[in-house]
Amino acid sequence: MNRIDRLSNLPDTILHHILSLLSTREAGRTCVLAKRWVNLWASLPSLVLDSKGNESNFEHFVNRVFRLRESLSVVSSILPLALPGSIFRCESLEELMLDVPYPGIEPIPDLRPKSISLSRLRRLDINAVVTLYDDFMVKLMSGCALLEELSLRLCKLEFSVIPSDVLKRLLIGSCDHSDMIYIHTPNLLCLELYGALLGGYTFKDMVLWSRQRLNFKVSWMNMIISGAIPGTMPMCSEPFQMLRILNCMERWCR
Amino acid sequence: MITLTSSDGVQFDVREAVAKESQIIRDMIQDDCVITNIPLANVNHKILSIVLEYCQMHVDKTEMEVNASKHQTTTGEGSSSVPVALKVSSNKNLNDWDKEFINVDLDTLYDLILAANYLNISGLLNLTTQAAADIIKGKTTEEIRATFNIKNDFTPEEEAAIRKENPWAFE
Repeated sequence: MNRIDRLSNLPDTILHHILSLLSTREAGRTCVLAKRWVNLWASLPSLVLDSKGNESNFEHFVNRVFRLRESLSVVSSILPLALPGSIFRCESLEELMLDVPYPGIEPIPDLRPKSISLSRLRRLDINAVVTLYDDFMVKLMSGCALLEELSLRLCKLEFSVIPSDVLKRLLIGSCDHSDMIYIHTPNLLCLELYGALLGGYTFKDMVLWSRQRLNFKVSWMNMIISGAIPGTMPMCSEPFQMLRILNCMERWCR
Repeated sequence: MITLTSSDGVQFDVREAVAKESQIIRDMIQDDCVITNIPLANVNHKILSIVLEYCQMHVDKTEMEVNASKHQTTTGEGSSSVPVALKVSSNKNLNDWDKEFINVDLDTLYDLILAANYLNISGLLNLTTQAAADIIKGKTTEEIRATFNIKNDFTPEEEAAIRKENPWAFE
């Protein structure tokens, strides 16, 4: 029987559509089917990378993916403690989600890439039990000139300032930090803070903020907000009670 | 009513709502509201009738849901002028119907994928590509090649090298 291989003859866009419905590992395995398939999987618009299995194989794989790719919109990944450095030097990356399950061991791992150069990154989500230091924040803000959205969840925050002129949305949720964090983001439009917070926040340039229609959503437990907030900051003493305060800056600034 | 003409010259009269399941037809109708006959150069009558069966079913279901609260007085307009039989009992949900609908041979599946892509019917494209993905899922490289008749054009050395280059995928 001599049937024609019509699958391989489908256009790339359709094969991408099909491969995107498989796990990334399964899509990756199609590379040995025939020459037509060698790099098809690597140019998928979205890849979910999971690090189960051999760690060096995974690092090798991630490096290869970033070498092969021209663009990538989302990487949602469960990554090993040692993140391949190439993730932080992928110039085409626009959105990056790092999802690291808690390893269940002490000490909490650091996230300290040697360098960060993600010139097109617009959105970064870190949902991971990792420690972030000042050098991370400095490298992040200098290496991601377009970063508009930053979400930090479950992280241990050891940095003291979030400085950005371009950041529009900031979320800090269930993060652990004992010291005051200065949030210096004059163009912020949306701020969301929640979780068990021991340290506090100081907001710089609130006058600038007040010109914006800031979307402000906070829930906190034992959180102290202090600093240059004009007027009275609404406080909530009950644990984890959610406050939704929208466009409230005018009132505060009265 | 709109007349769709398949690549082999067979005409199908369908309600506008059914034809509009296709994004390209929707765009055409919007651009020029006097269009009543649309030739489809890339879809033959066999595949077009299956595609229209899908569109008809999905339009009917949507309309049924919309009319669920109202009392149903559908006569005339709703009657099927598409030469397809909707052998579906009304209590079956759409997902079950889709599952049965997509149970076709590989050649038909390819044709449906290409037609859905050409006509830009996102629901049908998702359904057909998912069906193709489901066939690939859980199969070894050899099984996938055999199923789809993919000719291995690597030398054994080349194939071994590629496996070695992507160890993560083959763990």
